[in-house]
Amino acid sequence: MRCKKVEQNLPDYLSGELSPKKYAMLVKHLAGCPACETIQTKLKQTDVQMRTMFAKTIKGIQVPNNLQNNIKDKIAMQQVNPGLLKRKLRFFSPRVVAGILVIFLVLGAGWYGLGKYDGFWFKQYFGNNQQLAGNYRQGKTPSPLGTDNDRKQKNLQPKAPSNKANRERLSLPANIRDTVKAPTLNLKENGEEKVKQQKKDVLSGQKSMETTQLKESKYGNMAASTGDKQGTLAGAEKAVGFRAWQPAYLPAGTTVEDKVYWNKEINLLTRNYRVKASRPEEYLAFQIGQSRDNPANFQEEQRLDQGQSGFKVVEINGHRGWLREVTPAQSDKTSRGQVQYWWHQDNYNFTVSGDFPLKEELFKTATSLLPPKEK
Amino acid sequence: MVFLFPEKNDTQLRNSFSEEDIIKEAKSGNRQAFNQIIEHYTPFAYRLAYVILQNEQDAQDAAQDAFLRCYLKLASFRYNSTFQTWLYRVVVNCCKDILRKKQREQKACANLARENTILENMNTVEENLDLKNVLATFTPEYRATLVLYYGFGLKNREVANALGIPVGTVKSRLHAARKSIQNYLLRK
Repeated sequence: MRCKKVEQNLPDYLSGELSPKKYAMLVKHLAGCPACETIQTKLKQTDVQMRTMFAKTIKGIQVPNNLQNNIKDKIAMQQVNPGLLKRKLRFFSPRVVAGILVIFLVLGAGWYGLGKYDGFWFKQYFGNNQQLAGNYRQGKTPSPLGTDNDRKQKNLQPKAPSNKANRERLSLPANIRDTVKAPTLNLKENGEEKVKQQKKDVLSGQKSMETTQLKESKYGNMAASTGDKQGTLAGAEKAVGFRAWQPAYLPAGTTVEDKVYWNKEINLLTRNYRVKASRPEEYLAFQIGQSRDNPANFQEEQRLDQGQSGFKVVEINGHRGWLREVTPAQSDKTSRGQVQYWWHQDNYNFTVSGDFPLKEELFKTATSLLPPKEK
Repeated sequence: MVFLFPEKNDTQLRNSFSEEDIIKEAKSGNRQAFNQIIEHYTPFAYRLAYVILQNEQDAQDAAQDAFLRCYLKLASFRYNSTFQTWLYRVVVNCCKDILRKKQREQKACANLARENTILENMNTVEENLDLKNVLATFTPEYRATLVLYYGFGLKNREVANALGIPVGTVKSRLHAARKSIQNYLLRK
């Protein structure tokens, strides 16, 4: 400890207010520093002198004799009992009242806001316009008992072919058949082209190996959309209340994903499939969706979408269906494009969608869907 | 501090109580208990007020106001400090109020705001020979600090608590005042 610091701490040292550590350091310093020792002695003398003088001066101030009685009389005139005052304060203090008011205001504002709010999130979780969150269509979910309208519309629907032989015999009209023609599926060639392109890109320094790798398709990634749950097929069938139709035909090298996705709100059951491509890490994906819906909605959609651009009309299992296709973008080498078949059959909406190279295969898969055998 | 006061319940006679017991009794509404507090602390309160205000009548008013405030606000005393420190703080606040109210203390009030000014008039120190008169030359805030520290023997922290100021301010005030008084003592 330096002399200046010692001088600063001397008053505390004399009044005994130093910490033990500082006290020990100061004592050690004083023992070896005569200058500080002298200052300390002087300060101590002054301190003692001042305390004595102050004590004398303070004692010299005469307290008026009647002061105590005056104070007592003044207090005796007060009717307030401190004990009672305390009890009053406990229940009626401004803090308590303000706190209660704030709680009521917050609760009230929250309740009012909940009633008034009509935004996206509110609709999603509390409202009945849930199409914003998923594929829910307002007023189109069939009641478990069925309505008169349901029964009427069911009779209007063309019936599905009764057996597999009938299905295979189905042929498309000539004009429609032309629209369904897809590029020849040659996965091996596509894969080799991509590898060549990849090597070229890497050598030219335009892209790294990572960026040129084949990305997963859109359909491969959209397995779990908002509100979907996943589990076994049996669990999914139990949840949605109907049995899943099984495809009799699948493209070669297809593996089905173990998990089945379902959405109870829109009675949708979705299965995902992968098809092996030329390289082990590459695959093509497709998806089969089945949802139970009111046949009245089918008629409505047929009217609405008939002339809509972007859809081609196809016949699947003797039912009117639609084809939507997005060809691979030329600018993006990793783009595969998309294809989707969509039709209504026996109170169900079916959709078979996947990567564009699978176009022909998926049509075969779509036309091979059969109801499950009764157990 | 040991107080004596009549017990509410005469069958259970107790002679002595600690300060905490007395305050608890007073809080519960026992007027006798509070009277004992008045008897014990009136000299301290009055002398402190007198040193700050430098006027007998004002000191009496301050002491009376202070005890009345203590009585009314006793329920809010939560033992965060000693009762003595709490009372001194109330006395100092009463003194400040009186200084503010009185026209003749307007100058002193102005000095309260000017922390750098130690003495009202440095030249007068040399002229006064009595410490009482020397004290009168300090501003009320400095007087209160000196009296609490040297007169009542409070520690720095307690003085700071009683005056509602930081400990560092107390130390700097004491240092400055000590130097002035040292000079006075040397010349004496």
